[in-house]
Amino acid sequence: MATLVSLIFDGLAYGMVLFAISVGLSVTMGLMGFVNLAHGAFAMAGGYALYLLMNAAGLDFFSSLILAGIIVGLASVLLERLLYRHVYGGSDVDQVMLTIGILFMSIAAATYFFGPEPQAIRLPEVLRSPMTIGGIRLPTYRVFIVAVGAVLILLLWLGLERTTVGAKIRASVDNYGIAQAVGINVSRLFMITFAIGSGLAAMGGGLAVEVLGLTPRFGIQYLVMFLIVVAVGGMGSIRGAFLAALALGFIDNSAKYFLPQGGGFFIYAVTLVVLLWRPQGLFGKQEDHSHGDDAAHGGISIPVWLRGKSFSNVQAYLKARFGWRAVEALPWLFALAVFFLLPDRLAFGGQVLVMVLFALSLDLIFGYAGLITLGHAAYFGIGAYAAGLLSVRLGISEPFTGLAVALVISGLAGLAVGWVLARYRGLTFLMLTLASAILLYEFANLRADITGGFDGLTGISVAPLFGVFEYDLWGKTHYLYILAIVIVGYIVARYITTSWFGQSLIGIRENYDRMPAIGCPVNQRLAIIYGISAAMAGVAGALYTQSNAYVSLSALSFERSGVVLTILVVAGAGRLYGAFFGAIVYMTLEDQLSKLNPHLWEFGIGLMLVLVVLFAKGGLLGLVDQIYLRVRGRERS
Amino acid sequence: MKPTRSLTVTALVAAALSFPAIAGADTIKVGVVLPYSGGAAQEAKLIDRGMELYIKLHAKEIAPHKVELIKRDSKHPGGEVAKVATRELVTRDKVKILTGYTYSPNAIASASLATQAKVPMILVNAATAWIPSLSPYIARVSWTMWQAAYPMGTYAANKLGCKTAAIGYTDFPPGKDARNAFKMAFEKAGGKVVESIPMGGPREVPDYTPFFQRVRNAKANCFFVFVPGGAHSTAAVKTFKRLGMDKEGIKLIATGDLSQDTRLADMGDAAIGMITVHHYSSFYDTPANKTFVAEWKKAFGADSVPDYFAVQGYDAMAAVFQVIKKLGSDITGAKAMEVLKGWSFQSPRGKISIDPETRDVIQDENVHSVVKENGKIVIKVIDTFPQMKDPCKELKVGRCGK
Repeated sequence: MATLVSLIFDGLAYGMVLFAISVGLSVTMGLMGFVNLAHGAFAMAGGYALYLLMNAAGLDFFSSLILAGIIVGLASVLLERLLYRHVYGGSDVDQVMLTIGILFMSIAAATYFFGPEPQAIRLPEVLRSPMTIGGIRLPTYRVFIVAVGAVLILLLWLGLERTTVGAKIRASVDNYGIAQAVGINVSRLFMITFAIGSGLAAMGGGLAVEVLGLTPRFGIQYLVMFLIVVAVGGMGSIRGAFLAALALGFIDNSAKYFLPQGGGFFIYAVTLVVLLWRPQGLFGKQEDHSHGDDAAHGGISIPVWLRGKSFSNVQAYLKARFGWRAVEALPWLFALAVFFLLPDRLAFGGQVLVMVLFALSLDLIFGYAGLITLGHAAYFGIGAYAAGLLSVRLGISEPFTGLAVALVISGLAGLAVGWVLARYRGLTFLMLTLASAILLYEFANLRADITGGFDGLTGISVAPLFGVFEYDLWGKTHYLYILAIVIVGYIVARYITTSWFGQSLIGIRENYDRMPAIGCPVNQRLAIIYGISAAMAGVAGALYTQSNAYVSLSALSFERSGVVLTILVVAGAGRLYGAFFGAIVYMTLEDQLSKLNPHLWEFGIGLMLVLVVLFAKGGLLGLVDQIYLRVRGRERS
Repeated sequence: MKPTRSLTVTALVAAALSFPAIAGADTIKVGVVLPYSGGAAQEAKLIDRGMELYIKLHAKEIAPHKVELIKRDSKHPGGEVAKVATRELVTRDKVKILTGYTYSPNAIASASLATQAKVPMILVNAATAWIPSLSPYIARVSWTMWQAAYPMGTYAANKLGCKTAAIGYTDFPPGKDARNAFKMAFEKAGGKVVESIPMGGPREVPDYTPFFQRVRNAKANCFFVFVPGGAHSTAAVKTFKRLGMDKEGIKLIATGDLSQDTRLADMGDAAIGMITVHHYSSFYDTPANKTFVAEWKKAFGADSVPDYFAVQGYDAMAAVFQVIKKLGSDITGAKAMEVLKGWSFQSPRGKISIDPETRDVIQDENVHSVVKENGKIVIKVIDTFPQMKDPCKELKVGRCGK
């Protein structure tokens, strides 16, 4: 009995912390369809504010907690006006990238000021000693958290249901356009909501210091949990966020108690099931909030080199549009030149090329078909392990066989998952790919006897290429081998995207609802391209394993999925060369910055993301287009 | 003092003898691969400082040579970043010695390069027991999880009077090693493990309450915990206290990760009473350690506390210096291993040496008791397992037997 009460209470307390942090995220997402992945940074900021107020300013815990909420809430307005405002109504991708950039910068900044080590606060005596209610010992601090949570939900409910501002917010969540049309200042309303949401997150972060700890990485460590609360509860629904947070807290706690061997399985499995069943979340609205116009994509606009030209017929246009051009060979000649010019950087170069192929595979589904996924590392990992296990378990170390096996297994996995997920869109699709990838990661960890787990799979051998060429210390053989495969991958991707099939994908991306009307089997096409993309990611994974003679769980990690998406967006998705250009820029920057100052490279990466979103619509390659057009325009006039 | 001096003399003589082979004064490049960014940046900072401190205090001993550290970030435990860094350190920077490697996977992935390039690799943490078997040119000055968890099992059964024990561990290789080592030793000494609970992965600090509740209900005498230090340690210790498990007569025992020096202040009174086994704590009351801690505070501020990572960095650099003293700039993997096999050193943690058979560290494992003294939380050494070899290899457990 005592155990049960304590389980319920702890689950409640955990859920309340999750709720306090996530509710602001849910409302801003519901209100503006705004995807704010930096929301956790406000929770982290709240934790540090609390720490500073208590330790440096010497205030007591309670007033510090409230002050931390107010300070962070006000400070967030500054960010909102400076940065966020520019991407309202922009594409999901812009929002995701801008806020990931801010998240990275916040991590680096917190590391700079507070160091990477965890910080702790000292709770007041009243909250530290346990209390007894009805003969059952309860931890006072947990009771306090639950009480704070209860007060919060009451205040939010009153504020939303009983005040004019609340009514306006509800109206705007329901119908943004009409709310604006009837004279509600939605922009200001959003600013207020944003500030309150961030303030609440900060208080939640402050409450969490004692429960979850406080490090600069807080915002990214628990990001997935916050997103789950929002997606499961339904965007924009306070009631949904509340129930989802409590349910998650409770399920997570009980699963740990009754079935600790299950690891992190449960939460993600539940998320997967709920979202498959109700894509809009438990209390979300039926229709999709996704915005049609996506500036980050290549778009269906006519390419730069064809603008201003006229064609006698369609064939001539298509030939000019999709025919091979000499300039396409340039990047590959560059890659070949690297082989001769930078002989001592080929190991790094090989890893960049692997990333190029991985990003290329993502471009097929993200850039062309318009599906945002945060779980693509799953297929990279499947391919990586397929190639590794083939060598370790079956003793087959011929490199091309490894690639072929990886291609088939990843492709089939992708096809199966794609077939199930193809009918989901937007945030739901993102969360489903994320949850399934994390489930796969947890499964690989659970079966460490097969995968080698965290320590990785050792004893992988790769037979000499064509039975002749050995792998040298400098990575020369590897580099050429990888380069050749990546070029093949490029040709395949190019063939697919310029075919009628690829063109129909662009159609789906641009107008998902109209394509079925012209007879296009949308879900089937999406499933197929998802499978092809997964197969290509699998080959990239196999190359990764072969070039390192090693693979560990990190091949499957969430971070890898995030990095590859970032790479594509920075350079410009939906143009094939984005993968090439982005991988080089991102990885070189990361490499060089981390040499300059190994602690702070994340700041540089974050800043780059923010700048790209604000000043280079369509990524860096989009910027190149614009400059090109401007220069040519000047020539003509 | 005497052994150190004679060691220095030997080194000088050796240096003098090999002088003709050394063409003047060289700057010897040493590659350092550490996770300077990411989740383990804090450990990297301590190790880095330990290395720098050793160089600062002992630079003269290798004169006319100098060392130049080339530091590379291994970022995360994925292996590939560390491997590329290692490869470039060897091929481009032409380092003579490799050191660093905190995450085991990074050492495991990079090990083959030590063999291929014939460069010695001195591991500064990477505590998975079988790693030195991956290359003949690897030596480890840090520890293995078995070295700490195994004696804890013996001590719990024989000295702490634990009849039954529950185990809670973070679910990744060091945690599993800790579980296996503790269980084997504890059951060999007549104890019984009644519950063994994986407590989530190393990345996030979980809410430990439900796991600990389960242990509480299992009614074991002792609760052996492994968590990977940092915020994990603080959270676990506080949860134990908060649930009142100490008052119910359950003894909290662990490897030294739980009583990490740098976290004791945050834990406060909750830490009192726990018993841990480890190879270092800054509270050791030995002349060598007192000097070390004083120099540390002089270099990095009075508030800075060295912990076992710091000392491992310090000792790794001592090993590097030993190699340079003996070999000058003519360093190969094989020669360096000949120097390090059987090498012994008076570290702040006590005497350490490198086992000639396994190239792994031999060291004292100390039983720590966390107590309050003059209002401060401190660690007292209450017992010692002298000069322990890695039990995993001694007992030929699983992969260690190969």
